[in-house]
Amino acid sequence: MGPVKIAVLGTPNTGKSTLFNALTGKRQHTGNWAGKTVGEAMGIFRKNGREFHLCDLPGIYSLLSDEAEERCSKRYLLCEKIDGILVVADGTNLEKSLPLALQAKALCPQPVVLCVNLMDEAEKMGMELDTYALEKACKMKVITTTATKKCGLGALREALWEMGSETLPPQEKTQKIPLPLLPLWEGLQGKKSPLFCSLLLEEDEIAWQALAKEETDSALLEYLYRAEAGRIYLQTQEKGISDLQAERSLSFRKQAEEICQTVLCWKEQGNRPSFTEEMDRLLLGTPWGMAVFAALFAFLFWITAAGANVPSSILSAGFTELRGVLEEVLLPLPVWLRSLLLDGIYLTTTWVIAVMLPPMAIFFPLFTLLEDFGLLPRIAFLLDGIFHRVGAHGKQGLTMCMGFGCNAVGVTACRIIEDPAKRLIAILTNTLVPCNGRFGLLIILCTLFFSGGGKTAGLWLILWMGLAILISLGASFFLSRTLLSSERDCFCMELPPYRMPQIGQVLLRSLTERTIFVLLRAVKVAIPAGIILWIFGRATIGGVGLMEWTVNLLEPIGRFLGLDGAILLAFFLGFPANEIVLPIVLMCYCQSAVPIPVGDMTELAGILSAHGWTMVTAVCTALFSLNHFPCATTLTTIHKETGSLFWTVIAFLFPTAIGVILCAGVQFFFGA
Amino acid sequence: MKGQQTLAQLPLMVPAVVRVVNRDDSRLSDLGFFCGSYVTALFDCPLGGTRLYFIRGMRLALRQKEAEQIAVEVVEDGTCENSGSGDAQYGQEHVI
Repeated sequence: MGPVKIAVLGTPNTGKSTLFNALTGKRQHTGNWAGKTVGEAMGIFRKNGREFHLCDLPGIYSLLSDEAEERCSKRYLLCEKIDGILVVADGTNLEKSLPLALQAKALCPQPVVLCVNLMDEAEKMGMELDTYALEKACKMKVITTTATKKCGLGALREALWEMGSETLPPQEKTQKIPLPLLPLWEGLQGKKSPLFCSLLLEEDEIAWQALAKEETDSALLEYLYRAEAGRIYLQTQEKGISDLQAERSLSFRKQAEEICQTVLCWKEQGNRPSFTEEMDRLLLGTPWGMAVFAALFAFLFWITAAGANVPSSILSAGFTELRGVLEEVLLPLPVWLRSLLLDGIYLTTTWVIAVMLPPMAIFFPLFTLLEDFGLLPRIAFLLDGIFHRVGAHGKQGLTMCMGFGCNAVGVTACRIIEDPAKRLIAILTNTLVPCNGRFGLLIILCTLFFSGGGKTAGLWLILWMGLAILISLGASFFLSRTLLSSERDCFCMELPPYRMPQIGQVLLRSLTERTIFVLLRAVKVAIPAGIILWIFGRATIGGVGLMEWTVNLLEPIGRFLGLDGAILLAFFLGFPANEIVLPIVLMCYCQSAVPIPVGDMTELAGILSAHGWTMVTAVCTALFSLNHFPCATTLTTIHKETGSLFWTVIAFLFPTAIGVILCAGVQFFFGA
Repeated sequence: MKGQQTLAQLPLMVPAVVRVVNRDDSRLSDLGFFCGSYVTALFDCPLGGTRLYFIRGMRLALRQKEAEQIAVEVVEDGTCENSGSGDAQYGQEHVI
């Protein structure tokens, strides 16, 4: 017997991903908000010697409307060969989840198992569920679970196993078919459900694709005629297809409402407001909310910047030790190859790891804790007032916050925005906020130049961050009015209740999924970059070092932008990771063969002023650091997320253009 | 019975019942906005434009543009039955 393929469906915020992980042991990223899963994830478990392939589909409210995620789930259900469907419902709000289960049952011939999750929360709220009555009312197997505590998983596996061994139940023939559907229904001779026929009637692209897979062309043509006959009948009744759709969607909701009234029983709880209500009243109902969130994020950035120093220096010390060992191991190799491996590849790669790993290992677990707790959608709600004015989505506030940690992760997070145009706006403007890698340079510039003595460096840093956010908002406004204007604009977001984060899992997942994921991509680009850097440090053209030659070549462009050739070259060579921009500047200035770590501040100030750095240079460097092409890791991520070369090129050019305009402007008005 | 108003105009914390949804697709009705649903506006977004509603056991953020498509009627004492949404708190507030 082959594997049993099961599609996992569910409304958002039902703990679907947690359940999926608990069942299959796969580490799918979970979070306490809607729209976490986009695209499909596969997981496997075994039971009684049979393999079960579970496919986790994005959380949706209905199979019948035409949003991107809904289409994705519908396509999977109709076009893939599956043996069964598992619908995960929210125990605390069964009425919200039940229509989806009923729709799946009505649409697909496969058996459906309904899993009522979050039972612990539901019981706390005083809910009592008559499982047997629910089973009878929905005509499907019902299992209750608490995925976070791994309760009821055994029974669920058992139910899935039974489902896998079942043969498909015959379609009920006794249903009353609405008149417009009759021609199609008779033509298909009961091979498809009435709901499927109704999708065909509405010219649903996916349903027709699914049918075309199974039928011959001539049969398909006949169905097309029959569908047309149904539509003509609708017209004679002076009804449109949208009436049909609305009626249908409503009928499932009504049916769910009726079922819930019979199977649910609520115990009196008294009028004590719940924790979620108290918290929301405080955070959303008073102006304090904004202040609390701002303080929270300020703390998050501070702890990331402050806490990363020590592990970073320990890491780089460790890598220096390891280098000594490697030198001995590689002794038999020719000198140039050893130098390429050690001074080129090894140096750059370990540098990238030492500067990138600690901040990310601090930022992402903390960020994921906030996410798990349920704060992020509330921040999105509070920020929507700003973002909807610039034509963007409220959730862009969140992806922007993640961008402060790492733009590549921020770009990946843009998946939570359903509208394609709004998602592209969020992706393209994400790199306009400085990531961890660019903070280092900004902090140094603030300390040395803007604050004078260094006392007010923190304040200046916040001002620069504010400027970055303003530029990002302005860019969003520009994009939403020009390249990416979209009329369709539905912002509906469910705010889940606050939930206690699962700390152990959060730490593990944020480390393995975000931190290691970004690090691996960074290392992949650090290796070729190390080679290029090594060549730049050593090769000569006509007696002049390649580095010096390129710096001279770039000098006029750099001057035009208020920078100089070395800074501009450093931004190009810093393409793999922005952390190494300043070390490369120093490498150019000091005629060194390898990038120079930033050491003592007074020494650094001496070197910079000796090479003609003024306040304008510092401002332009900061501006160009905020607004230039994304780093290689982010750019590959953008290519992966958009799946389009065109938008990747735009993502490269757009921030660069902003940077060039701003820097040239500053140089024009203030430059000597 | 008071007259109808749009959901966008509904004052905060006043329970109301949905009467008409003027929208072609089923997006809003999938979320629970259909005739007969009980709804309460909970909070305004600080800069306006978006509000948080409580509907059928869900806290749902909706922009005013969408909320304008929904006509509601304020619930008066004794005129409504159980909302059926079965939530512990807001459900009870407008169950008399």
